Amino acid sequence: MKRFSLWHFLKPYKSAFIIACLAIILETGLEISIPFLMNLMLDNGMKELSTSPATYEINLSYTLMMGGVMIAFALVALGLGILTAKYTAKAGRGLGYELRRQEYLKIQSFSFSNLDNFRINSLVTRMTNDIQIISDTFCQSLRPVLRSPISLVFSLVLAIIMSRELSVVFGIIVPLLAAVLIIMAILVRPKFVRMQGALDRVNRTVQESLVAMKLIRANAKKDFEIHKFSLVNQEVKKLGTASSTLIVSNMAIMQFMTYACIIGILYVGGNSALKLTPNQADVVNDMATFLNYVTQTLAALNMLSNVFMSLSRAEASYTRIKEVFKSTNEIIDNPNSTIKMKDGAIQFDDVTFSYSNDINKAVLQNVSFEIVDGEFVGILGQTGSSKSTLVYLLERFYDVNKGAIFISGHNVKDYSLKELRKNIAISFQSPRLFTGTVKENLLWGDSNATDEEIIEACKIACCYDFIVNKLPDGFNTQLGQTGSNVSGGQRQRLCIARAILRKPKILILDDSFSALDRVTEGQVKKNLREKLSHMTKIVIAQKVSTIQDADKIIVLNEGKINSIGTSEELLKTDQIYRDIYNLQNEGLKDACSN
Amino acid sequence: MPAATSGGKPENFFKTMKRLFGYFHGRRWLICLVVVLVIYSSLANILGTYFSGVVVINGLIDDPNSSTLVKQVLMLGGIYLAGVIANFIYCQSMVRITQYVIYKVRMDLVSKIQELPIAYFDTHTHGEIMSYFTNDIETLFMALNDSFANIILSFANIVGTIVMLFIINVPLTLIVIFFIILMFVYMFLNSKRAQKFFKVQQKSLADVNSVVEEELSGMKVEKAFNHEEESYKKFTQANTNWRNAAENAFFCTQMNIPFFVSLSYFNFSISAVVGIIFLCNGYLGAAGFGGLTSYLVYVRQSAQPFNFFTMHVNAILAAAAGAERIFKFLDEKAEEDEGHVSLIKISDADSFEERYAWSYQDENGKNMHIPLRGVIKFDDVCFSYVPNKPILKHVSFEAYPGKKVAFVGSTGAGKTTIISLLARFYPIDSGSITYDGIDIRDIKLESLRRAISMVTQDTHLFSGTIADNIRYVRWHSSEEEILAASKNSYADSFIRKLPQGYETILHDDGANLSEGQRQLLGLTRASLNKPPVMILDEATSNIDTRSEVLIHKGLESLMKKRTVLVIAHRLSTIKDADEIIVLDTGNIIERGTQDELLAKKGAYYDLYTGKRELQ
Repeated sequence: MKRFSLWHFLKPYKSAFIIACLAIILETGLEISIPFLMNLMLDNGMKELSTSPATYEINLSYTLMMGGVMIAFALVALGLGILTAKYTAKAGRGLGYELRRQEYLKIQSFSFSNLDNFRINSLVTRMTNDIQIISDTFCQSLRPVLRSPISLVFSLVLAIIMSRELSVVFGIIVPLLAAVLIIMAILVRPKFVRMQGALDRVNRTVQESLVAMKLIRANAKKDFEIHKFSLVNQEVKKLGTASSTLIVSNMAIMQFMTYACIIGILYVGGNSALKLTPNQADVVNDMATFLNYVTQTLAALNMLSNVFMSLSRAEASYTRIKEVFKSTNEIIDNPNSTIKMKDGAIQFDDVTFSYSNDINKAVLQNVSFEIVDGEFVGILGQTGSSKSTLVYLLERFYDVNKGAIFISGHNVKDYSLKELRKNIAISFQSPRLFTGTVKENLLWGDSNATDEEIIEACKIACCYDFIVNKLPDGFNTQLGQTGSNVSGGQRQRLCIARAILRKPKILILDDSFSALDRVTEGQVKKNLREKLSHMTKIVIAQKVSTIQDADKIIVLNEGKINSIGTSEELLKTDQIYRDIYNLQNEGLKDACSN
Repeated sequence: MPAATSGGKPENFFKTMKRLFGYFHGRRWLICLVVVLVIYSSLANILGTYFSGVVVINGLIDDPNSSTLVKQVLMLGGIYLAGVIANFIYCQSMVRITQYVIYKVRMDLVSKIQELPIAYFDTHTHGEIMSYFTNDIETLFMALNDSFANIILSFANIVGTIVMLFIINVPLTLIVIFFIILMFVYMFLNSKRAQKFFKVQQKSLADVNSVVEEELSGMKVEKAFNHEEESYKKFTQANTNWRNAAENAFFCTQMNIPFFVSLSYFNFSISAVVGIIFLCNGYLGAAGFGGLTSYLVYVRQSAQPFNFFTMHVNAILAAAAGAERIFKFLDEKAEEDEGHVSLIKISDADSFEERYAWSYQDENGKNMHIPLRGVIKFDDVCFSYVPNKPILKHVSFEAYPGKKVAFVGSTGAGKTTIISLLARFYPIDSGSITYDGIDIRDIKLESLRRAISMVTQDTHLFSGTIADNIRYVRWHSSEEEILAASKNSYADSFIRKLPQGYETILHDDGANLSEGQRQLLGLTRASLNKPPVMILDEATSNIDTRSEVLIHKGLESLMKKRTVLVIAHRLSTIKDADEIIVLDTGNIIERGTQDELLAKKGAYYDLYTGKRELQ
């Protein structure tokens, strides 16, 4: 728990934080001594000559001296104020920096199931808005938060020094005030958390309708969507009103307390002034000073009640961030393992896997097979037959629930993740590229690759020609976010080239030919066979033609192995394979006979 | 607490404010009440200070009497109590007004989104539109909830304090005025500088956010490629830039505070010295000693509202800039919808065609009906997204109920454009499109789109259960209908395997479903909703061929009596089409049945035999 305290993230900026705090405390001290100086000035700077009509005699040198002291204070306060601003900014922004950095590292260490559980959108919010809110709140509230209690305590102490009688009023009001503040904080918090939740729903509803705009239009669902939104909008209005009305009543309560304080001082002070006729002026002067403190304290409290809302909001954000830090990674790395992957031989031994850890909902059941190093293996199966899941297990994106997977004779769990993933390269079903040049994207495969190696990989993946001839700046062409400015087929080939550049022992192509024409597909496959004969190649495909010539084809059906064999064997023995084969070949035969 | 800096300046502050105040409609009297109460609240504070100094303290000195003391203290108590009550009421009212206004603005925004032409979304990112809901609404909320009342309060405090100072002594007040002017000058100069830093900060924030977004959404690829270190470097660069820019911006805006504080000390000490000199020389007159103490309290009070005031002025300016952006969005031109023909229910028959009919009023105001059939005609249609860059050139075709028309061609040939035009997502440049002989421009948009069922390559899913997502196209469908539809489209078996079956809740656009599974859900939706025209745009592209054949068998009964327009990647799925139209750069280059086209050995033959890439 202690690891997640804000202090932990503030540590690198400890000195800035301490300087900022000290500067604020000293500055507050200066401000508090001003009424005290004033009291001295009015007490000693003049002498009452007669009471009615009141006439006074001035002690000019004393008065000027005190004036000078106050001006000196002003200059010191200026310096302290600048220090406060400088170091608050340093500490507050540093805090944001460090939080974001640590959170990023934490998310980097996440397994795929962690990522699935949190969902990307919500992680993005936690790393952007939530951190901004915390950093802003820290910067803006450090001063008021420190000042108010100090101001209260100092005022109390000075008040006691000056007059015991008057300080009784303070003594009653201050604890009362503190109690009210604490009760408020406790009451507001749950309301605030609920309000934030509702606000998230509002934004999510809008975001979703934006994404699905064509669907909404095509189904004439305008009124439905507006109605749906009005429900969440009403909810956020209701919860917002509930939390805000509570927060703002803070101000009235504080005002009430302060005014009660003023009245108390006037009454108590007035009565004692009446009793002590000889020293009347002194008592009256003390009362004036007291009033000064009261207004000062009110101002400080006012600032505090103003940051109150931001503080509860920041807390809600921080709770969300803490959830990220608290989640435990389900994939346990073996970072110190020295086992090296020697070849690409694979063995699945009675593997069962379920995304929900519930064996009854297993998406892969008792899967066993072997792949010899260097083989070209095809995986075929219907939508939802867990073809992708099968290869994800190889890379330990998820861990099996039962059984074991061996690569090159070792359980995948015995390798370090780094070693494991270094030797397996995958081209995902949805080909994803990143902002940057084509070359930068390819270098993901191997950051030390030479230009020759890059060109070679591109030639194997049949993307060299279009990079050089069709893209405006060749390898230096900038790709938009997610590679939006190249076509689907081009994106697929770039992703294949990126995977090849890794020079893996095992190459996985997950439905990576779907947007390629037959000629290109055939060429890529030929290249893979001829130039990368030493690699184990696993190809997931929708089309039989893609994997027809594989050394081994695994046919999956609803998470189980239906059969394994070459195309010829499967045509004889496997109904599913035969169906798909016939369906896909009948068109071609027609065309050729025509 | 509002941010100490503003998010840009409004172009026309007063016009925006006027429009914003339009949202107070129905709450105007409450606003007036708030203004009155805020001013009273400030007055109570200022009067209270005067009363406690001049009346009570001077009273004690002049007339030491216990009963007068009690009377005066009670009077002061009355003033204060009323002030507290005023404060309570205006704060509560302001919260309600704020929520009311924000609610209405949000509703207007959402209604606008639903009215904008599809073309708007092609040129504006979701992030841009979302920022109205997050950033702009947020600043508006802060300004209304907090700054509106506070700005009046601090202004009233400043004015009231100065007035009271004048009442006590005119020459002494001039000292205070001098310092107030100094503060204003500093505030003005510093805010100019702060604006500059603020802009840099916003830019760096946007940068770090976009890096985070891209890297997190590509996290799985990053892991597969052990790319953690490089990504971390890129992230750290953006994060560091943000830290430095944000540090500068905050430092600059915070510089107001020390200057105000030290100026107010100067002010106070000079006022005190001069005040004592005045008192001793009798210049204070009737105000006397109590007057001096009140005066000094006022001098201190005069500085306090300043920081407050600048803070809230900035917040209001930022909100006005936000409101201006929102209003600009609300003023965007809505989708044209001037048709007068609508789809109305004429019977309770099961089939869509019998239940509904086209209806309009003729010149004599008589209601006329046209039976709903599903005949689609494109007549010499030309279209371009951008002027002078034609996408479709003189396209004509006809499609009848019971017939299937397929469109084939490479990316950018204009296949998807054709169906977008049918749904009137975009207006055509020339030619005409008719539905049952009625120009689609004469049909109300909502009616036109209800008469078409469209399944696209990307299936969008909403947060909610699978059942609700299927039901989306026909909200009142029963569970049996949903079940039947999903069996029909072969989605039932995978849905049953999900953790909670049909009640499984989807998040993030159904992020955990595979592309194929999503398409199955899209097809299920189509099996639930049965208007006479059905469009399948790459609707089975991510489904394996074997399942695809099964699905098509399932859909056959659906397609039998309907007009079907198909765009397909896999030619095997369109072999039974009654007409195949081959498009190339917006021109129809070949048309006919599959047999005719194959015999021709033209473009279609090349596609079919794999000689040409089809994307």
